[in-house]
Amino acid sequence: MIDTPAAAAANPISQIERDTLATMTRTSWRYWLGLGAAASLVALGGWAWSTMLRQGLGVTGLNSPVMWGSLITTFVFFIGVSHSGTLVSAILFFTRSPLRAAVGRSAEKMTLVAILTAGLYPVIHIGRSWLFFFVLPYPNQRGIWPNFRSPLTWDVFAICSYVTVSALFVYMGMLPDLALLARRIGGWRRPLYRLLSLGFSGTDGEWCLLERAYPIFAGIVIPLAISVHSVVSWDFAMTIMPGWHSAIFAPYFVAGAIFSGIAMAILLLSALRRGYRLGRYIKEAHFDLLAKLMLAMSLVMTFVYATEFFMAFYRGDSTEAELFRWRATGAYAPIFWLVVLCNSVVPLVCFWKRARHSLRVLVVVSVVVTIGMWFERFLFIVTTLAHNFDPFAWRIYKPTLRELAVCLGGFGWFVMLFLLLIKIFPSMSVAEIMEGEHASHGEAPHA
Amino acid sequence: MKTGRRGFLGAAVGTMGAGLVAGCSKRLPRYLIPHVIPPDDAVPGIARHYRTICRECPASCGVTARVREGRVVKLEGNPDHPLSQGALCPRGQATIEGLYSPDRLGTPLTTTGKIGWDAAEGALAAGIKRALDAQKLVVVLTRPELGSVGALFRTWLTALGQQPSQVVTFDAMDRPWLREGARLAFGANANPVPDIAAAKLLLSIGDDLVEEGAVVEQARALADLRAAGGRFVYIGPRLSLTAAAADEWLSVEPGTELLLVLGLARRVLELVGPDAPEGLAVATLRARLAPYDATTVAARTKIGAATLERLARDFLRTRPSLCLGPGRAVAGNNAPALAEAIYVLNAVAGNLQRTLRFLPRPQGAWAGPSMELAELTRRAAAGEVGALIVHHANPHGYGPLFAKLAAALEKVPFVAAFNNQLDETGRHAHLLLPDHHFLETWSDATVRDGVTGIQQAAMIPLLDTRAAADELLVAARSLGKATGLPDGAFGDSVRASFDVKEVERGGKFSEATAASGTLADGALAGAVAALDLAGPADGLPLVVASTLRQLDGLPPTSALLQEMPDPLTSISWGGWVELHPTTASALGVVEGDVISLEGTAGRTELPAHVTIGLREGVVAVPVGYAIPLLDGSPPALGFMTRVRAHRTGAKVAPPHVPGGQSQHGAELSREVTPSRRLPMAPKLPSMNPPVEHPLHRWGLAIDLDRCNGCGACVAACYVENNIPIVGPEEVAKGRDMSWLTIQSFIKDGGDGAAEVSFLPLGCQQCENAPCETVCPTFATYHTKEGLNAQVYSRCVGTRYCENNCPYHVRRFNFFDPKHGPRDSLGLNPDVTVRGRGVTEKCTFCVQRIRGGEEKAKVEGRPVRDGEIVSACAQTCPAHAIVFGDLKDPTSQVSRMAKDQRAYRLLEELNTKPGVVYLARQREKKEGT
Amino acid sequence: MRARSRTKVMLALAAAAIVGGLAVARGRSEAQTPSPAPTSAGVGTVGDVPFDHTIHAGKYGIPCLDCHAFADKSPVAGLPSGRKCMGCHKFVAKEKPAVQTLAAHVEAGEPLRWQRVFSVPDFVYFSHRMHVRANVACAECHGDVAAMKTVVQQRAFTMGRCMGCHKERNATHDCLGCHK
Repeated sequence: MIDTPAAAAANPISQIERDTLATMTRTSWRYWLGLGAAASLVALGGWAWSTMLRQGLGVTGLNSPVMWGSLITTFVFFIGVSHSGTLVSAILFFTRSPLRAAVGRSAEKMTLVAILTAGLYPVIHIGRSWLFFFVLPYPNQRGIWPNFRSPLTWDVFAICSYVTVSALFVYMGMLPDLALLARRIGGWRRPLYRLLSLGFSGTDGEWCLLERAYPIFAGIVIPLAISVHSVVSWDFAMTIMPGWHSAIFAPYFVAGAIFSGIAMAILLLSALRRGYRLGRYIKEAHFDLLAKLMLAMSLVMTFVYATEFFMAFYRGDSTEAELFRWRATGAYAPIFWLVVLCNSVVPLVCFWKRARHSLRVLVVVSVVVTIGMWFERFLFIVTTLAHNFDPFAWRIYKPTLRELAVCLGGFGWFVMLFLLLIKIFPSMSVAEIMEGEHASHGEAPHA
Repeated sequence: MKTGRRGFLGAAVGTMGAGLVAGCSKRLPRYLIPHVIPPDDAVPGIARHYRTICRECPASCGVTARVREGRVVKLEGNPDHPLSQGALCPRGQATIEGLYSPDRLGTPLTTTGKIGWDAAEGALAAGIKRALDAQKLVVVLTRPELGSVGALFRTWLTALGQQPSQVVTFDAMDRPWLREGARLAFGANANPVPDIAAAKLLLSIGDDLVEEGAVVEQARALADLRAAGGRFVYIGPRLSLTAAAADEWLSVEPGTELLLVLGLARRVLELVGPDAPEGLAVATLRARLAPYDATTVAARTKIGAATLERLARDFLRTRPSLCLGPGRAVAGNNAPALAEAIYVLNAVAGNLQRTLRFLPRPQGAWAGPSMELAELTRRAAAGEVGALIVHHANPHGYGPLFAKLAAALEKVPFVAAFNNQLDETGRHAHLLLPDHHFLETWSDATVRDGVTGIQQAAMIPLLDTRAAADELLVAARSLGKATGLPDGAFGDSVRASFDVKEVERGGKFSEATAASGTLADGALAGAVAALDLAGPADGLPLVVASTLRQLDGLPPTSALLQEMPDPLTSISWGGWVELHPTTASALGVVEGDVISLEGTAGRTELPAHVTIGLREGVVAVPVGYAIPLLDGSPPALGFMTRVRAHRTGAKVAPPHVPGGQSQHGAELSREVTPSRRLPMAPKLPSMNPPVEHPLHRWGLAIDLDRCNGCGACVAACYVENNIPIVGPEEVAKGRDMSWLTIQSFIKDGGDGAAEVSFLPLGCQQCENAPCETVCPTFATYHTKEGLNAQVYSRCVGTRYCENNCPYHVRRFNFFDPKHGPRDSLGLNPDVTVRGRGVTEKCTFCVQRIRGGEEKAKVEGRPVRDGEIVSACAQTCPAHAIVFGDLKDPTSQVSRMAKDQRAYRLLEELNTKPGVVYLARQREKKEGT
Repeated sequence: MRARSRTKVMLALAAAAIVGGLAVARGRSEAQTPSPAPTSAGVGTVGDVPFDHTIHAGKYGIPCLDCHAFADKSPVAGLPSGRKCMGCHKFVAKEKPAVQTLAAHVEAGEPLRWQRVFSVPDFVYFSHRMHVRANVACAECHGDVAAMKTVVQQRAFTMGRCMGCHKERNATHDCLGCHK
């Protein structure tokens, strides 16, 4: 499919190439601004973390009984964000949706970046981060292994495998593009692409192999994505704490994850679309679809909230009833109602077609949902700990500025990695876009 | 100096020989330094025990000092001593903080600064000589010294040609009204001693048996009384720990206790009719009690005629009964009369010789007539005193309370003070001589006829201090006035007066020989003075609340005692003022508002604690913090004055446990009544495999009916397990590290009388422990002996276990741990010092379990029941906590576990705890 | 074709890396942790009295417990007191200058300062008594001291080493046995 540079000028395909590779070739002041902002956030968070390492976790607002706070909240949140990317992309792949070509790649990248961000937080959270390796199963002379009954240990495995598979999934999808880039892009990046493209030269045999391998990964990714979030939910559902110990947690987490993931995806895509004028590829249809999905998930979340409360009072367990009463009316009631507003009410605007087709509205809704989902995680983690079995141990938790700085640092880290990735790797699958174009011209993709 | 446990051992090497090969780290000394000539029976690494006495308060309970490598690491009760019987109060547990305190003096001080000992001894002798030459008095002002040291003072004064009576005892918490009342009721040399455990009905008129006096003995007696089916009624304005332990708490109009008692006496006398105890001058008493008919008394005291009648009948019916008091909370300026009335009530009810026995006053060279504080004040002010030897007394520390005395002492040309630390009086002294700590020197104390405890030097003095007694001897010798004084060192003479057996037992203990006593003819003859309060008429009566943490009447200085929350209010670090909700709302005050209190003597500011455990219209302040308000008019620390209270607008979060003191329906601390038993424990299925305990299943049984919440167990736990002290800010954030806490719950028991129930709460050592399954690193797991182990070196600090513990008994080191004064040398070498970021919790004193098992193994026998005791069980004055093997059906703990009052916390969670609680018994108000 | 072969190479390399990594990790764990730099021992630094185990324990075969007298009754083994040294040296090897310095020290009541060689971390509780009772020869942990002029710790006290022996002898595996 790759034709000689000489012919490129005349060829409309080269136009597509220019657009699809725009994120890598064009670097506006906006990009540098964003990168700078993100980097400085990371620096801030890094400093805050260093104080935790040097002085101890006393600098956080944590106390007994609220031993988990904003750090774990951010962990769960980003695991959630990581969710939609590969999942959506894989689903679109199987449904052979024409929409996938334009958005799939960025979504996958988002997954990768989000999970790399989430992974930081358990390490920060333990305070003496250098001991984190204790939870890894590695052969040692003491004959000590991690406790395989502990959901935290399952987390380690779930997240590691999710990272690996997602990375491979993205990578495999990018092979043809890398090969292309190895020809198109000069300078220091060329040898990199040479190496990464594994010598892919677009022969039929290679395409056949690729087409055969790709679905396998896509197939693995979907159940894996579901499982990862179920496992994270078990960190809570496997305990005996009221408000956590609940069978609904796995589906609830998965729904919440897709919900927040979609919101994040909308934000990133709209940014790309505006920043690089990709309106031709990232179309209303995409956003419409995403908006519908977000709406659906919002409804699911509302249902889950309702169920939680219903069960709490229906079960007649005084502790749990007291907890949920307090969650809605106690010290954290403002957060609770904020969450309801953000996750259950605001997204309802997506019922209107006009809202779904106005990028501005969608961006606002997505921001609201992102905020809502972070606080939602915060809410169910903290309220349960702050107000359970022992009245004498009821206590309020307020995160300190340093904690929040570390959380913001996470968002900075997330954006920074994403910005770097779109510089190094194409944000749209060139090959697939071309397939699309050719298909519309009634040609075979690679003759 | 900042060294941890290993530093302690390092230092220990120097004194106690070699062999620290066990357990070392980078911070270890590079050298091992054995003795040149070792003590014969010293084995490094093995603890030695010395029997001695605790001198934190005049009660002088017998203690056992545990010594490792030459350092006292813990005090425990002396099982052979009649007072302690193996138990010790929180104050006693905290003693070693004072021993290792960095503030201890190591060199003599003069007004100009540090001097050497030779110079100091010269100065002391010179000062005394000047006084003698000037024909002035030499006076000794000392803390209560009921033994050799007290005797020495007298012989020393005699040798100097002074009167032996020139020994003045200084004890701010003294309760002279009891002696005075006894004198009025029974005559000059009667010595009535109550036998609490012998009574079937105990009526305490504000007498806080759990907080004041020989608390260990009294708490035990109280628990025994109630365990034997006796009733305990407490009458006083404040719901103290003692009142909380009572079956019934009543309060009368403040200041009318005297009327109540007289009314009771009259009614009892009527009821007893013909069978009045013989030798009782019924007619005269009738006449003297005539004015106090039920109606007037009921009206004035506002207690209700029915209650009055009930009390009178009970007091007579359930004999032998006993009435005690008055305590600090009700002791006003008519306290002696009240005490007298109480003795009369006992006499009328025929309790003399039964629950109120007469013992001969303890004899000894130390006893005898001695100068009163007032006289010292007068003569010092008049300039008659030429030299004053202050011995562990700090009158200047009490502000206005002893202002007169303090002012008078300014006139004394030479004041020499013996003390361990530099206190206010020390600052005013011309010469300050650092004394040994009482664990470093010899003495003894005769607390009652037939009970003399020996005070042994349990360790070599830490600093360059010298025994006060020896210094006095040196001075006398240098003045050539040593006739009648011991020749050698004072300690040797003390040691010589006890034989080996007695030293091993910790003193001379024999049955007291009962003396006789009867009501004096003059009883109640004196005019009955109504109680009147000083201070502004519109003010609120101030109740001075005695607490366990302030046995010397001053705010606690020990970091441990301050960090340990007050069991009733669960406030730690600092004082507070208690208000009844109605009083509070009248003042527009809520919990935590800073209140300004103005009395006659001065003003102070304290955070408010609003509680129903107080009568309306009064305010209560813990004794140490009430001092600024009281002028010294007798009884110095008592129910003395009214105070104006108003809020300053400032607000503090008193560092105490949140969530209030309500159980919110969660049945944690349970109660049973004759009519209401405990529900059956639910039988729940478990998905976990059954837990095997092949050899032992260690368990704890806590009898809430005996527990009075004193917190001795908490203090013992701190000392035994090297628990960090985090300070007020961290406590306020909810980061206290206490492995064992006393949770107190207060509820309205109907008709306004509040009821308090306690819950000593440590790790429950569950069989299905929620914390064990979630720990990713196996830092916590279940041992074959039923312990819920916590391996500090394996803990990474995910804090997952803390989240999943339904009892919230796990603690996390948010910062590098500090241990207060003990950081230097006082830590327990058998327990790892945890680091930052590590989770810790109660281990059932696993070091003691291992020690006991090793001992048994070496001796080739199974572990005996009661041989291994956790620190909390060991120290409990009320014997409410029992440790043992639940697998051994004959052990006391498993017998208690089968009791029908036995239950486990949050049974519905099916955690199968190894801690068994025995529910508190509540009776109906209508007595027996 | 070139591309294919390179792919294979890549994959091969990756596989090799993973396998190698594991092997190293495993090997590392099996391997004895290298012994620390030899620490000279037994030399009292006060007036430097030389002490030689090869003479006492080796040549004259004095049992360890004669000097380390607490090893069978206490968690710690203990070192001989100055008086103990003189117990023999009052008569033995009096003429040796080292012994005379020693005598001088003991006479003056100056303790000897022995250099520490063996140690376990703060959070480990090792009881000599229980191990001696279980007939663990001193040499099993301390090496053949009798043959060392200056005592050296040849094998670090690692938990792996403890566990190895405990497994062999089927001694306790309870963490609380050593960590409390």
